[in-house]
Parts: sequence; C-alpha cells; structure tokens
Amino acid sequence: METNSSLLKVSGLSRAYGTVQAVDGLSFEVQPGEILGLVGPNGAGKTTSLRTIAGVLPIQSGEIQVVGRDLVEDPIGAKSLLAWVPDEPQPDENLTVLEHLEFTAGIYGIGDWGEIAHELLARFDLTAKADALGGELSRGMRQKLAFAQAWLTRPRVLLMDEPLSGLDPLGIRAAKAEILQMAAEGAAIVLSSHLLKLIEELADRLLILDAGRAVFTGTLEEARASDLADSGGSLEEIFLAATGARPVED
Amino acid sequence: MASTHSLTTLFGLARLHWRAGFRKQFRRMRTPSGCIFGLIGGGLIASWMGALMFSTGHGGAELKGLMGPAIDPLLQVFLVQCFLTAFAVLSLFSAFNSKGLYLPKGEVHALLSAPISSADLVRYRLLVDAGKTVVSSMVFVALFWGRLPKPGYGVFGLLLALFTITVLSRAASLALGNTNLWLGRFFQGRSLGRAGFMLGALAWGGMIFFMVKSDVVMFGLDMDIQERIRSFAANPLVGLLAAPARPFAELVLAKTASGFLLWLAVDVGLLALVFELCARSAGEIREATMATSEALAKRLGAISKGHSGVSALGRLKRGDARLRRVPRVFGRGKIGTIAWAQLVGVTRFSLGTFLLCFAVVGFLVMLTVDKDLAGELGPPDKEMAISTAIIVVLGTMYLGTSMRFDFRTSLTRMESLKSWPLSASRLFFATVLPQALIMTLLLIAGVLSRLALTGVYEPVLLKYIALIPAFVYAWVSLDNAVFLFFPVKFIPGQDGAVHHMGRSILLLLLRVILLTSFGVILAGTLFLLSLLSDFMGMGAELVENLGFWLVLFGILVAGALFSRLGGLALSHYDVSKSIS
Repeated sequence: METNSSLLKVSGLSRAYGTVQAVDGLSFEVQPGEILGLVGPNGAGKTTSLRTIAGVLPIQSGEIQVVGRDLVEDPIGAKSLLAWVPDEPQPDENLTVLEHLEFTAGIYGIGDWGEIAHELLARFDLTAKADALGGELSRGMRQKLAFAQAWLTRPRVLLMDEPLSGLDPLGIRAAKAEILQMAAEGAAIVLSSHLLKLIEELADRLLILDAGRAVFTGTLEEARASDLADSGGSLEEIFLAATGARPVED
Repeated sequence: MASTHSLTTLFGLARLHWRAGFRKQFRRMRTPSGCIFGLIGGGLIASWMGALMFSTGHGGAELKGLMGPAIDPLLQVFLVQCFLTAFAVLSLFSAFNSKGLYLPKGEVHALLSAPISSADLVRYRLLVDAGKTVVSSMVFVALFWGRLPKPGYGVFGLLLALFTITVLSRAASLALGNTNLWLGRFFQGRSLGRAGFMLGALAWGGMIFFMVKSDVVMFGLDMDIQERIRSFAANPLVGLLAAPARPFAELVLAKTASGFLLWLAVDVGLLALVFELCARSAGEIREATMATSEALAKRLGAISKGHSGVSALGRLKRGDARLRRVPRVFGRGKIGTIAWAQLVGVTRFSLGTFLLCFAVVGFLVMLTVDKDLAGELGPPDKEMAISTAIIVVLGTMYLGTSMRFDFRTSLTRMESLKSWPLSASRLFFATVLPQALIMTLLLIAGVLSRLALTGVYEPVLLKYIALIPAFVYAWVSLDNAVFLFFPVKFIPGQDGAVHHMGRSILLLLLRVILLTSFGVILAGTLFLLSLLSDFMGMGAELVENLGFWLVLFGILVAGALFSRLGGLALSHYDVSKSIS
C-alpha cells in the first residue's frame, strides 16, 4: 500500500556501526490511520530504525519524510509532527508529572495544555501521581507518562518502541485502546514489539526485519497466504520462518 | 564454618570481575581516542607517583621530609601509629554511614538469593575490598617509599595495616546493622538516628575538649616540634587510642628480617582474628545489605549526574517544602521552557552545592579585601581591576566545575532531548543559560560584597560587571561544547578512571588553547587600538570606552562561536554509543 498520502515515508534507510550494518536499505510507508507492526529478532535494527526516524540518530543514508517534510532539510518541522515513545523512557527526575506535561506543551508550542493534560492524566491513570517527581516513578508509571506526553502533542506520526513494557494488565488494556483510538483519529503509527500477540491484535500491516533488512512487508493475511507459513499459521510461525529461525516447509 | 565450595565459587566471581575490568581497559585502548586518553592518564598517574616516591630520595634511613630534621625511632613509631589511627578513625566514621555490606547492583540479588552463608558472603566481600585497598593504597605506598628504613618491609606492613583497617570498618558496619536491628526491635521501630548522632557528637566534642584542656594539641609552630610530639605521645589517652596500631607501626618500620618476621606473625594473627570474628559474627545481614547497597548505588548515581556532597545524600520527595512551583522566568517559548526545566532542577536539588559555592565566592572576596594584598596591588583602580578579575576568573573556574546544571546532568535523557522539535544550537543555548545566569548572579554578588566591604569605588567597576555575564556564558558554553564532543558518565571509583583522567587533561588543554586564542586576538586588537589612538591623538576616555566595547564584543563573539560548536556537538551526539 504505497500512495502519495503517506504520513511517513522511509526510503533506502541505512545505518552502520563501524563494520556492523544495523539497518540496510529499509523502505516503507505508513498511511493515515494505519498501524505498522515492526517485528524482528534482537539486533535486527528495529530500535535503530525508529531512533533514526525520530531524529534522535542522524541519517547516514536514505530519506525520511514526515507528512511531506524531509527530516534532513526541515528537521524541526518534521519533529513537531512526530512523537516518540522510547523503550525505556527517562523522565526528568526534577520535574513532577504535571510539570512534564507543561514542559512538553512548551516545547511543542501547545497553548491550551492545562485541561488536556488533566484529561490525559486521568486517561492514563496518572492523576494520583500528578505531583510525583520523575525520579520517583516506577517503570510502568514512566511508560504511562511517556504515553501522556506523546498524546499531548497530538502527533500525526507516532513511533513506539516496546510501548507496553512495565504496564499492568489494566494499563495494557488502556494503552491498547488509546493506540487504536489514535489510529482511528488519523495518525500513522509504527509500533515495535516482541509481543507478537500485540502486533497481531493491533497492527494493520507487518514489517519483519532481520539483520537490518526488511524480509517481509504486508498484511497478516498476505503473510499467511505467502510461503512463510501454512494457511492459517500464526504470526509466531510466520516470524520464525521469515527470520530463518525455522525453515519454510515445502 | 566456611563452605569451601561457595567460597571457591565466590572467589571465581571476584577473579572474573578483575578480568572483566582489565578487559574493559584494553578495549578502551583499541580506539585512537581511548589510547590517547589512557596514555595521558597513565603517564600523569605514573609521574605523580614517581614524584611522591623519589621526592626525598630513595633509601633514606629516617622518617624525614614529613617533619624536617631527623627524629628518634620511638617518635617514628608513634607517628606511624598516629597515621594509622587517624586512618582507622576516618574509615570507622565512613563505616557508620552504612549498616551492612555493600554489594554492587549486579550482585546484590544474585548473591543474597544464592545458597551461600552470611559468613561466606562477608569473607568474599572483605577479600574483594582487600584487593581494592591494595590498589587505592598505592598513593600511601608512594608517599612512604623513600621515607622508610626498609621500603620493602614498610610497604608490605602498610598494606597489611590498611587492609586490617578496611576489615575493621566493615566489621563496624555489620555490628551497627546488627545493633540497629536489635535496637529497632527493642524500641519497636522508633528512629534512633538522631540520638546516635547526638551521642557521637558528644563523644567527639568531649575528646576535643580533653585534648585542648590537657594541652597536648600541637599549636605554635615556633616551639620545638619533637618536644610537642613527645608530650602528646606521653598522654595516657593518646597512648591508649594509638596502642592498637603499635604492632603495625613496628612492622612498617622494621629494620631487620627477624624483626619484620616477628611483627608480621603478630599482625597476620591479628588480621586473621579480626577477619574471622567479622565473618562469623555476621548475623542477619540481608536487609541491611539491601538497604546499604541501594543507598550507595543511588548516591553513586546522583554523583554521576553531577550532584556532589550534601546534594548527593538526599533527594526530595512528594510533599517536601522545597517542591514548590518555580516561575517561568525565561518566558513560555521553546527556549524558555527548556531553561525553566533546568532552573527547576537547580532550585530543588542543589542546596548543598549552593552553600559550598557561596562559601567559595565568599572566600575569594575575603582574599581580595585582605589589607596586605590590597597594599601590594597599587592604586585603587588597579587594585579593583585585579581583585575583580580574581573573583570573576577563579570564581568562574570553580563554579563551572562544581555547578553541573547543564548537559553533564542530562546524559541519561539525551534520547528525549534529541527528539524535541528545536534546533541543536537553540537547545544548547537554552540548556546552559540557567547555569550561566546563576553563576553570573553569584559572581556579581561577590564583586558587590567586596565593594561594600572596602568602600573603594571607581566608575569603571560598572564596565567590569557588564563583562561578567558574557564571560561566564562563554566559559560555560565552551565547557559544555567540549564535554559533548567527548561525553563521559564518570562515577568515582569505577573502572576507567585512568582514561577519565587523561580525557580531563586533554579537555582542559583544549579549553586553555581555545580561550588563549581568543585572549591573544583580543589583546592584539587592543594593542592595535592603542597604537591607533596614539597616532590619531584620541583622548584617554574614548580609548577606554572603545577598548571596553571591543572586549565585550570579542567575548560575545566567543560565546556565540562556542554555542555554535556546542550545537554541532549536540547534533553529532550518538545516543547509541556507550558513555560509561
């Protein structure tokens, strides 16, 4: 599914660490309202790809466009339309939870942040922690805060790396609902996770990475119809076949 | 009874840690920068140790150099006793900060849940500490080397003594943990910290009072120092306090093989006794060990983020009085928001650092109001210029090192920082601005305090004050730009200290070169201005004003350039690379 209306367009993205090629010629697009599930074994280049798209790592080669804005030529314009939820959010230990939202509002130029912030605190079950310092938060609370900060910016493109880490079952359910809602409102979402059930549940399309390369791009149905799995095979089987962990049966 | 199996396994773990430490060092040496940093750091340490070892000549037969003229053997023993006792007292004081064993983060859960007895765990930790003591005692070895009758015997004795002190302090920590546990149960969880502190303070005050009252403290440098030491040594309380160190002092100062072997047997026996007592008396250590390890890990973490001393000890919690709203003094734009967040950190967590900085600026002010110094500096305008320069330059150097409210405390959050929709130069400016502003305010307060104390005022002082913000900003931005090009998260005592030292020296050199270059350009421009003014016959006031604007412009240009450099460093900063 490649059209001109893509909110996120990645072309020929490559990145090497010394002699190790972490990402090798990666290309994909994400449409409005679409959730792209990024999966791959450890060291496949998922986090490096997401960090590069988020503008955290410089682009060595390739091109990234966020809502038509080139990340190299217009990094500030591109970044202001994008939100990044890293796998281990590190809040500022000096600021309270509410101040984190005030800070995010200031950085992204959001004027009417107060009411939305309180609403987000309630949605992510953070109201009781509004005055807690970043350094006091548990792993799950840090994750919820990262969600709230990302949601506050109303991003057109949302990048999430292992977004459900540390969340309790209730938090997981709420987070999944929020992600689906965000997509329903038209955002393009890239979601990286080792939880294949989550990808199966949320993603519209799959991108399987192995050794920095895309080894499969398409919907789960397309994957099931391909030679990666027997008809009706689970994502786990598809993943194992695509990444060479289990040979494809003839 | 020690379990041979678990002890062997634990020693295997210690050996693996040592090997990993060496491997890490060698890996650092693989990159060109690591090699350069390592060589410079290693060279610096070697030359320092060498200077210490050979400063008084190797093989000296007396304890000389420290006290001047040769002193009699009995006093030598007493002096070594004093040194060891003082070291033991300091170690014991630091031991009272913890109530259990310290285990590193990676070991605490694994070892406490493993089928290992408390006694074996204590033995393992004591021996690991012994290894560390040997390494950290090298500076004492170098210091004593040329001042001992037989350096070989002496150094061996010294290491044995320092190891025994380490074991003693660990024993004190464990005993405190056990006592605390027992007292806690007895008093049903009431806090005893304050009562313990009061008792300690009373004991310390009583000892000082006794020493002053009995006239054994060595005041008055004009008196015969050996006589003073002799009278000090003759005091029964001092003799009692220093007595446990006597066998070790005799070993350190042994002159013959037979004497050395005799004292060695005594000291090894004492060490074995203390060691086994410490291991076998360890009762329920798990809770105290968890608490101690967690507290120390937090403290090291805080230090690595730039907090120091008092600031590293305590953190604010919800509901704390200092956790109040900080106004948005820098505006509501992107730069203002980042600067505000920095300011929040400064105001909430840095009382200790602030107090120390106030004290240092106060010291500089007092130094420059000293009447003798003032007399030497010449006429009032010259005196004021030099005094202001002392306060501002030395103050900036100190404050820039100890106040770390900039990128040095943001390394763990670089991933978020770099995703913000803001140019790298603006992000750099916003982050260093609050620190520069606070330093400026402190220094201006210092200059004005001096004015209030001396009453010496010349109108040119206003110009000097106007230069302070630009100078401080240039300094802080250079500091941060250089840091971002070679970032490192340094924790005292961690491996990589040699590289860190080498890196610090190189960065210092780089800063000096950059600052000197600007200084030379400015001085050259001022020289040209003076030539031009002579040639054109300009008035002194005009020349002075032109000179001031030139200097201000030059510093502002430097600050802008360093900011640009910082922005460049920030955009090249790679979050995926290890900075530990």
